[in-house]
This record gives sequence, structure tokens and C-alpha cells, in this order.
Amino acid sequence: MKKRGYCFMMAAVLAASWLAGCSGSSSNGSGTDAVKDQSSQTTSQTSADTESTKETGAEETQGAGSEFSGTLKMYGPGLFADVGQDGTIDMITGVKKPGYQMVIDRWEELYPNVELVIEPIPWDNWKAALQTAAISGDVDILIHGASLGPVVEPLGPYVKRDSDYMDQVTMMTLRRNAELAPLNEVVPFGVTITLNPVMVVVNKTIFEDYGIPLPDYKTWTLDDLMEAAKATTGTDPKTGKETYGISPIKASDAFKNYIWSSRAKNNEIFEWGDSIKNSKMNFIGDDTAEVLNYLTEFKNYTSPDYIEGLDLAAAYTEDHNIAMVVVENPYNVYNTLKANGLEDQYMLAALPQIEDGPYKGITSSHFGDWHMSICKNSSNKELAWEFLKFMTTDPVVQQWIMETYSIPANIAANSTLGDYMNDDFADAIKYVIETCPGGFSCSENECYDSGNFGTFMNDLATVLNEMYQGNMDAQAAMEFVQKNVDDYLSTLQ
Amino acid sequence: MKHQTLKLKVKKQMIWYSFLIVSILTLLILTYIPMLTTIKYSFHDVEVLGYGDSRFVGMQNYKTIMSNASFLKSTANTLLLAAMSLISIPIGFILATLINNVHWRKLQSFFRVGFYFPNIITGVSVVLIFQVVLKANGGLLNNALSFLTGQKVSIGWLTDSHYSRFGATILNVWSTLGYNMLINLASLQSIPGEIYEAAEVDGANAFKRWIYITIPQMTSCFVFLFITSIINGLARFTDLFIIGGNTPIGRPGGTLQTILMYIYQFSFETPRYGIASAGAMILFLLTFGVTMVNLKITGFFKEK
Repeated sequence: MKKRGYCFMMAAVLAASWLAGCSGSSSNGSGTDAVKDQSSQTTSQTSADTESTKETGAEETQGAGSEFSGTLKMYGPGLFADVGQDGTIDMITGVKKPGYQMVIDRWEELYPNVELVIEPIPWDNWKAALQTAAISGDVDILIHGASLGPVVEPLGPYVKRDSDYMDQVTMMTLRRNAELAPLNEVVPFGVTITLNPVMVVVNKTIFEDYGIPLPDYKTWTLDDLMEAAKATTGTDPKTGKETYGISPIKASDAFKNYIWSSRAKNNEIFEWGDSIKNSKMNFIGDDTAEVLNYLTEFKNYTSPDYIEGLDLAAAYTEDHNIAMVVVENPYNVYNTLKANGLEDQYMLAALPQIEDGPYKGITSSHFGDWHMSICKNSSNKELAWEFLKFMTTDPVVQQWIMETYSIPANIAANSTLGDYMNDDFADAIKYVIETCPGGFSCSENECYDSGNFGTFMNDLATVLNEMYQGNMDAQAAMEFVQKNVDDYLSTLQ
Repeated sequence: MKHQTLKLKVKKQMIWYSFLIVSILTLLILTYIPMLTTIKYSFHDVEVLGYGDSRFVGMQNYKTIMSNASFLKSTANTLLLAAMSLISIPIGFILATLINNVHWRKLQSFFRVGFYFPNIITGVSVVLIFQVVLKANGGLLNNALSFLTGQKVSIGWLTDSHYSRFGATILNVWSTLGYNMLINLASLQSIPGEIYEAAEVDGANAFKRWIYITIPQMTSCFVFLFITSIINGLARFTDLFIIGGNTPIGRPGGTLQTILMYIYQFSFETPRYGIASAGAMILFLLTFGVTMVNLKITGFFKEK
């Protein structure tokens, strides 16, 4: 009896322990099953186009770079790692993406004497990995390395020399670095290869169910966005399901929500001088408080799972219950929607317009990007610059980028977006690309800087999350961030 | 003749040293030289390793870091989380005692393996699982608490800064319990049966035997687990890094930022290697100090 009692008790404890481990996965996933079969839509048409472009381009430029020779090595995260050398198939949507072997082939056509060595890495700990690679002295191009100011080569002189280059690209990767230029000047530290405009994915069905007009993204304001979020939160009058107005960019990256909303409020907090000692950040102020409170108000219209990053488990499916999702990768989202056959149910919108200042009236959307920089201690800098130009201007490469469902930072290629996606989606993306000033990125702009003020980026995420949880008010949040920034600046000896 | 014997001796010794040389060199190159370099950097103003000027600044990095509120908070977090994770030892001991009393060997093996199972799951998977188990809205723990209390409980165990240390401890205990149970069980099973038999003859009941025989006999096991848990606790990183959304900020509200995460932040996110190296040295001294105190208190140095 005693033994049986023990066994029973042990079994109960073990079962409880296992239960904790097994309960995890039930809540996600269901929405994706329907997708699997639909989207073996590969890129057959575009592949054919590529072939023709390849032929034409090759005829025009074959051997154009034969004066160069050697080995060009590059290292870093991003698109090369995402698609692999031989391409990839998305496990959920079934969509195929061509590998970077296409880039190598094209390069070897144009530069037959230069061997290309690409070493892609995942995004995990990429900054640490890039620094280690740079120290090794055995890398010419740092993929996505512009934020490592002292490690990369400023590209100003190269751009100046190739004066027609800037006419072909949408933007460069700009940063401020006092060691290389006065801080009140932005300097190109990298070449942007692909763009990720921050936009809103709107679920038209939810808007229609509530009888709310769809946003006119060229004119809507921050208040309109909040009103729409408010109006679409509650019980859907048609389906009877609980719906939520908005899912901003995920809570762990909450600073990105600060970027667009502070831009919309034209909250310029920096006073740039020639050096960091002569520069200031004035984070405490009414405008900042307004931005922080605005973002915190979203709490009333987001899913209770937002803070844990679990609200988008069934995103972009027919019965997804969030009316608006702020996304950083609109092309990928479009791809998922297309795979689900839901292009008509959703639309893309630019973020609300800027309320004041020199950019008043244009969208507050900014860009994330995937870029490449030249490593400062490379012995092949000229060749590296050739490759950077090749990645942003060669027509075959631009087509390859499009086929990987990315948006190239090339003006001519952007105009063909409509060939790859529904016009409504392409027009919204093009609107952002065409209106957004070139240097407005998620790392550096008039209202935000991730490179010169220590832990500013992380501190922003911390306080926004704390405010969302009701553990901090705007005043405490501003004081916390300002104190950390001041502490950091005082450490600069 | 003498010279030849000496030559032979040296030759013989060389063979033995040749076996050691690889280990010594590896230890020297991969452990001691980086450690000494870190000490050097902690006295220099270095931004990114290998780039820019490196200027000797004496104790400035230490002064800076010791007056930095975030560093002090991360130190407090580290100590608090390490102390909270010790709860796993008594729970592991109780569990080991229960399993030890299951006399059907196959069933005992089943429980042993079953409870050890979480230990072989990678840290990333554990965090992903517990993000759902401990979530505020409809998480398993909150559902259980709602059922027990009769009212809706929606605590953000990993997202609300008031509760996050408890959530992180629950996660840590779940994943280390099996190891603690196993070490305790091995130690329990090595206690000589004669002592129990003698106590039984003297009329000691099961509880008294547990208190007066089992626990004292387990002291060295507890000391071992205590010290290793504290050291592991002081070096905690991966799970807290993932809970924070792959950032070293110790989300939520910086409550889960440990010294190691602080060091990571100033090594790679906001590169200031001088500051990060000073942090690493302080962590080393802290770990060394805590271990020494532990060994002293627990009588490890006493001659038996």
C-alpha cells in the first residue's frame, strides 16, 4: 500500500512536470496548414525573365571587370544566409527562393579573374561575429557592418568619385561617427542592397465588419491611426469574435515604434556638435512624453498576447483577429498573403503622415535595410567597392533580389515592383520609397540615433515595455533614459 | 656513464612532458593569455578591439563601472537570481528521497530518467516552452492559479518586471531539477545501510532517520551542489538573453540583466571593450570571492 502510494505520488509529480513541457505548442500553428499547398507558386515566370536578362546583361558587360584579379571575401548575416547558396523553399508557404550562386555566377561572368568567397552567418550574435571577422583581417566586405563605425571604411570618397552612382540607388547606409567626420554630418558607411520599409498591414474585412472606412495612407494622421485601432477593438459585429485594433512592432523591438511615432511628431531630440562631447540629447520634454504616451495608449487596443510576442501566431490568415499590424518586412508579408490567397482581404498602408517640420505631410515610415560595408583593413578596397556597386546596379542581381522577395535599393528595379505583386501593394511600397528621404533609416535619422548614445536603443525598449505594463509613467521613463545616456556620455574619456 | 644515465632520464621525462605539452599550450593560449589580455584591457580605454587608439587609463574603467547604476543593478540581479535558483537543491533532495524509496527498480529508473529528461533539452527550447507556460493570458501556471483561487489570474511571469525574477527562477528550477535530483540520489544511495539498521534498532522512526542520518550524511553533496549552483547562477546568460527577445537588456525592465549580459552589451552592442573587460574582472573576483566564502562556511578546508 505504502509503495503504491509512493508510486502514485511520484507519477503525479512527474506528470505535472511533463505537462509543463507539453503544453506549449497548442496555441500556434493552425492557421498555417491551409497555406502549405497553395503556394508552390515559384518564380518560374521571373526565372525565365532572369535568364533573358542574364543573357542580355552578359552580352553587354562580359569581361568588363577583367582588369581586376584576386579573391574577394565577405562575411555577415542577411539575405545570403536566408536563401543559401542553392536556394531555399519556405516550409510554410512552399515558396522557392533562388540561392546566391546566381550572384556568384554573374560576378564571375563580369570579373572572371576575381574569386568570390561568401561566408553567410545567421543573425544570432551577428555583431560579435562581425567584429571577430574584422579583427582577423581576412575579410574584405562586412555584410551589414555599417553600425561598427571604427571597423568599416567611410564611402564618401568612393561615391564622390563615381558621381553617377547615386542616381541609380534609392539610399545609402548613413551613420554619424565622430572619429571620421564631425558628428553634425552623416557619412555613408555602407551600400544599401535591400530595403524594408516599415508599414501597416490592414485587414480590410475587420474594417468592413465594423463599418470603418479604410485608411487613406497618403493623408492619415497619428490620431486617425489611434481612432482606427480603437474602433476595431471589441467584438466583431459580424463574426462575434474578439478583435484587436493593432499590433505594433514586437515589444522586444519597441524602440522601432518610437522611431516612427517620434518622427511623426517631429520630435527632434538631438543637438549635434562636431564631437560627442559637444553634442546633446534632450530626451526629457513634452514632445517625448507625448510620443511615449501615444505608444502606451496602444495597450488598450492590442491583444493581451502582444507583450509576449505571441499575438501574431495566426497572422495573415482568413480569420486573424488583428485589424492592423505594423510590419518591417512588407514584401514577405505580401508573400504570405499571396500564398494564403488573401491578397484581396488585406492591404498595405504607409504609416501616418508627419505632423510638423521640414518633412510635414509625408509618411513617417522609415527603412530597415540590408547593406554591405568595406572592411577598414581590407587590402582589396577598390575591388570591394566594385562588388558593392555590382550588388546595387547590376540588372541580373536586382532581379535575383526581387526573386528572393526582397526590395532592391535600386531606382530602376523599384519601378518593376508591380510585376511581382498586386498593384495595390506595390503602389503603397513605392509611395514610401519615393517619399521617404534617403537617409531615414532605423539606425540613424533626425529623431533617433542608435550609434552614439550608448544603450539608448535598449533603454527605449525597456521603458516602453514598462509603460505598457503600467509600471512606469512617461516622466519616469524619460528620466531613466536620459540618466543612462548621461551616464554613458560621462564614461567617454 | 653518468652522462648517459642523465640523458636517458631526460629522454624518458621528455616523453611524459610531450603528452602534457599539448594541454599546457592549449590552456595557455586559449585560457590564460585571453585572461591576461582582459586584465590589460580593463586598464585601457578601448572601443572596438583591434581598432582605434588604446590608451592606458588606470582604474578609470573600474571607477566608471562601479558608479554606473545599470552595472550595480545587474550585479544585484545576478546575486538575487543565483540565490533564488538554490531552491532547486532542496527540491531535488526531496525528490531524490522519494525516488529512493520506490523499491521496484524499474519504476525507480523510470522516475530517474523522467525527472532528468528536462536537463537534456536545450536552453532555447526550454525558454520557448515556458514563454507559453508562463504567459499572462491563458498560460498554464495562471490557469492553475485561477482554478485554485477561483478568480482570474493573469500575471506576466516573464514580462512584468514585478514577477519576472520568479518566472525566470521557475524556468531555471524546472531545467536543473533533474540534475540536482540525480546527484542527491547517487549520494543518498551511497549512505551505508548499516547506519539506518542501527538507528532502527535504537527505535528511530523514518522521519528521525531522515533528519539525523540522511541529511548529515548528505552534507558534502549539498556543498558541491551549492557551490556549482552559485557559480552557474553567477554566469547565467542564455535563458535570460532569450527571454529578453535576444537582447542583453534583461527585459522586462532590466530585472533580468546579469553581469554577463552587461558585459555582452558593452562588448558587442555598444562596443566599449575597456568597460566590458573591467566588468569581466569584477565578475571573476565576485565568483572567486563567493566560492571562497562558500568553501569556508561549509568547512571544505577543515581537515577531517
